[in-house]
Amino acid sequence: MPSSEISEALKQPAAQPMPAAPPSLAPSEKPKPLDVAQMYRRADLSGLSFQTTNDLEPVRGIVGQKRAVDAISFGTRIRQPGFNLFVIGADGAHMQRAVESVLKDAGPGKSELSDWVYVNNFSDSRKPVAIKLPPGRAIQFRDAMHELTDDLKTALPAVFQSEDYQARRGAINQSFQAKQGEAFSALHEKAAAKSIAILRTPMGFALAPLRDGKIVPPDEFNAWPESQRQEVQETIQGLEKELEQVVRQIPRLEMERRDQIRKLNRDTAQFAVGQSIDEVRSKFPDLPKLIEHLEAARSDLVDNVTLFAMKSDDDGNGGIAGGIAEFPDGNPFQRYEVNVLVSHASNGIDTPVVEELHPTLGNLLGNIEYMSQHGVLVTNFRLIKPGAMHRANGGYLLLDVRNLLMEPFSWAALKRTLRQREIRIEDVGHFLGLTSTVSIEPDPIPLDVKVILFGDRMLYYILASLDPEVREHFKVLADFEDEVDRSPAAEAIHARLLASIVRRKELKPLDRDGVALVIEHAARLADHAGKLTLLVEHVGDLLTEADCWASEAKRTVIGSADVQRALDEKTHRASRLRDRAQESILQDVALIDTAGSRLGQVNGLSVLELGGFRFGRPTRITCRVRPGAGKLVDIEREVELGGPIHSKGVLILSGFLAGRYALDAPMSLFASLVFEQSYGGVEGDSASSAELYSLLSALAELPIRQDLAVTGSVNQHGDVQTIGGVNEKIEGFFDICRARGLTGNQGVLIPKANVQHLMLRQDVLDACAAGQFFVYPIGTIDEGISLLTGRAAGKRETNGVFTEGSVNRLVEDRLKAYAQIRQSFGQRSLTESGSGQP
Amino acid sequence: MEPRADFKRMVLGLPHSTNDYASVIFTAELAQLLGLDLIGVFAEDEGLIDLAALPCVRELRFLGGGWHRVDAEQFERRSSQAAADARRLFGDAAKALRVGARFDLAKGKIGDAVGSQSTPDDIIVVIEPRNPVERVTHQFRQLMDVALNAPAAALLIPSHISRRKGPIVAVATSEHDPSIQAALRVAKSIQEKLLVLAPPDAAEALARLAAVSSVPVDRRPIRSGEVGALELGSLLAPTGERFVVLSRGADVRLPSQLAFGRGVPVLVTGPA
Repeated sequence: MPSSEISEALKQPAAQPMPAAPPSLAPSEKPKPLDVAQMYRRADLSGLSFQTTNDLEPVRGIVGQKRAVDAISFGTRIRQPGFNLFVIGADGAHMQRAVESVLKDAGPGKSELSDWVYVNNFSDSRKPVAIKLPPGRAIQFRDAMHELTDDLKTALPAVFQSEDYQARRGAINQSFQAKQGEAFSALHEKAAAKSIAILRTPMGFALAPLRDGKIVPPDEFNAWPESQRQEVQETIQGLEKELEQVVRQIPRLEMERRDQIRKLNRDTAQFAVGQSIDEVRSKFPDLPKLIEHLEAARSDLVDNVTLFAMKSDDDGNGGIAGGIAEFPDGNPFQRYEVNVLVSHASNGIDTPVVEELHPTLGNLLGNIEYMSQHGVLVTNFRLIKPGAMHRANGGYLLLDVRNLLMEPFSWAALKRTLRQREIRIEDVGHFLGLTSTVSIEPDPIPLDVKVILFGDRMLYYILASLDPEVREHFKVLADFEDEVDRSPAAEAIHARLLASIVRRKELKPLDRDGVALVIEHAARLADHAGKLTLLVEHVGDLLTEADCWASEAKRTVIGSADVQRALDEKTHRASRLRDRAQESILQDVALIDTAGSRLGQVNGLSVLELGGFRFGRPTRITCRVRPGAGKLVDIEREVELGGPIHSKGVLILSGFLAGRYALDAPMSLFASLVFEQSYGGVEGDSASSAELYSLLSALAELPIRQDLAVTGSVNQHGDVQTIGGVNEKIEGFFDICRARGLTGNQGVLIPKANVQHLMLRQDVLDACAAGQFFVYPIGTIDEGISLLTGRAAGKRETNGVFTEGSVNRLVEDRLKAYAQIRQSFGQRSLTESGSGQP
Repeated sequence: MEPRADFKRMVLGLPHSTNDYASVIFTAELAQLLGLDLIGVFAEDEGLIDLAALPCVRELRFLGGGWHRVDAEQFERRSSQAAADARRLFGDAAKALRVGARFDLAKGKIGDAVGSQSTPDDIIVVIEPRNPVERVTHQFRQLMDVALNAPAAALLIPSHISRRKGPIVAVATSEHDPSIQAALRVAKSIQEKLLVLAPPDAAEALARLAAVSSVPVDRRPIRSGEVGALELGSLLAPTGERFVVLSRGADVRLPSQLAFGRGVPVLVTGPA
């Protein structure tokens, strides 16, 4: 086709005869704007008679969380392993308070509570012994043992310093001294009789001849006759043998003496400690493990009395000089003390509910502390510290899963503990080789705890997909609702809920209008006119702020003005970015038209959420078209600024075009779509209808009204689908229009399905009521394009073509023209290459 | 020579065995409590070197060392080392307890050295060796002999101390027995009560003493005349005594039997 023909084809699509005048939009076809009543649902408190929240009965229990409460209740009833709870919900849902309330209402747990103590293991002090006691008995046992050691501190030294003991000991010593003395005296006398002296030398003993009480000098000795010298020598040799024999007896005699002293010490200690131990025994006759420990303590006391109860004398022979020996780690009686790990009230009915806010491994499972002793770290059973698991044993342990996962080793340790069903204190330092000192291995303690994890849904779903053990250990899921259906009854309960919050936080009461406004705000927070948020923390914050403003205004009751002030101030505090964004539009830095019409250009709407504050902002979307190979280019995707959902939305447009137009010809379109002045990422498909409008405008060459903005996603059939943040989007465009001056034509096209979500700001409502601004519910692309272009969309008639002059007809004709152009290009190429038909 | 109740110094015959230095520390404690200076005398007996020249003499060495010929050179070296050890250990004990002390290295026999160092105002201290062989050596016997017969008082320290608390006991034969005044001074210094075992006829004098004494004075009658070690042991048994003072008597073995048998220091005073 020659180029002139191409131009013609473009000017006169599909060679259809031009109508005399394009079909204008009939009033019945024009989408109707929403009534103000459809854009904001007022609270209906007519069924509730009250002036202020002081007149309302606070709500008891948990509002609107039946599913979650049932799950928690089920989870608390079932005791089998693995049926721990994973409680999920949005931030601010007060899940923990709700769980605690359910646990409180549930009353005592089915498990029998136990006290736990660690005591010294007398046979292996590196493995302290854990003993289970009935509730309330651990403290009794500790006090009894403390009293025992206190008694022994004075009783043992006293008995060992007693005259009776000293006399018996003295008798033993004297007996042995006498035996030794006899032997040595006999030897001495024998030697003396033969004029031989026993001498001490620097290295031992020697025997030497005496004369007149003095050692015979060598000269004199050598001057003696040989026979005399020989005789002395023989005498000395004989005495040497005897001396050696006597000396050899010393160790044996000493051993015998020590044995007898040791036996005396044991008997004495037995006597001293026996009565005290028996007194403690008599207090715990029903606890065999304690009796066993007491007997071990008795044996240890008796066996080691000289080591720890008294000061040995320096010869190491078990002698008793009196007083308590000084031990490096303090009082030696501490080995008989009791380390109370967990204790409960003696009635044992208060099921422990323990929350661990800082779930480090040590805080969770307990830890072993050390103390420095002569530069070395040492520990013992008294330095075992309980963890949250110990305190919660027999009850419930509440953990925030995010905090748990952020602590090294804690998550794995929790699972390991739940699997093993016992609490085993783990020393991270030893795991990592950070400490090389001697540690202890305390007995593990049987676990009977219900762990309740709290977290947001996303965290749960990620964790469940990555860690199969989640489902093994947390079989009960309690999913908290974010909102509840709104009805007069629900609003009444919500009003009572506000009364509860006000009382709990000790705020001023709310008046009736204040309650109504808070309830309406709860619907806005739920993003749904027919729902009320259950995120009571956010509502509580609003009430706190309103209370503050009421105080400043010297009001005793919080009114709607205070609530509104709180809302406005909160928005103001967070709206710097919104204001800057609007400013850039108003100063034509970001180009947004709010009047006139433009070809292939539409005002899309997007929502930004930063730091919990959401605001809407208009964005210009443009489209350019030309003949091509059927490619719809999303410039955002090409430059990798578009997210996958956005790209999906754009690709749906191709499906829409292919399904609606040019059914008998290949798609010969090249179109490019772009979010103008967008320098960040674009995600979501809420602008896909706007993109389609701009595409249709470009193809049909029909300009689009710039006093309207569009939001909504679209499917391949041209149905406009719901989107999020509809209120903020409308308000975002409204703010720009109002700033430039409302013309009475401006408005926003929203998906019909989003009408139920509308809870618009009062100033928007006022403008709508005054006919200065409009919100149009749109069900299909045809409705939208007709409103935007002022031209009927057109239907496919019985002859198979769209209504003459309609938007759809223009689009289809243009697409057919593109197809012809492409076909002619294809034929010319074949001719020029010589392979085509002549 | 008149006995003295007031003492100025303690003259201690230092042991050759380091095992006995616990008793040296105990002696220093007593010196501190009594407010006396402490003279430590260590004797290097040069005469023992002559043993090397006696062909018939061998040495039974400690720790199962067996019999060996005496090696004069090694003998001297060990003797010097023992003197150095004694000086150090004695100095440490005196310094720790802040006792006025002096170390004397003497040549010759220990008994002679201590005897020559002491004056009538002194107390000669004899420590009972832990090793029973040492108790029958020529040197120890001579030291005991000098101590018990010198003009100075003698203090016998047992190798094993039974009690560190309890009354000071004076064993007196009459109201004039010097042991009473000596014991009274010890009791005042140590802040313990005084118990006097004396014949009944001393009761009145002891009552007067009790009335004026700054420390409590108890009395218990014993029969007149010499009391043997066994009988005295029975008498002392219920008292829980910490320290015994007695006068020199006919039975020279009594002090050592009492001291080493009951495990209490025994001070022997009175004319030799």
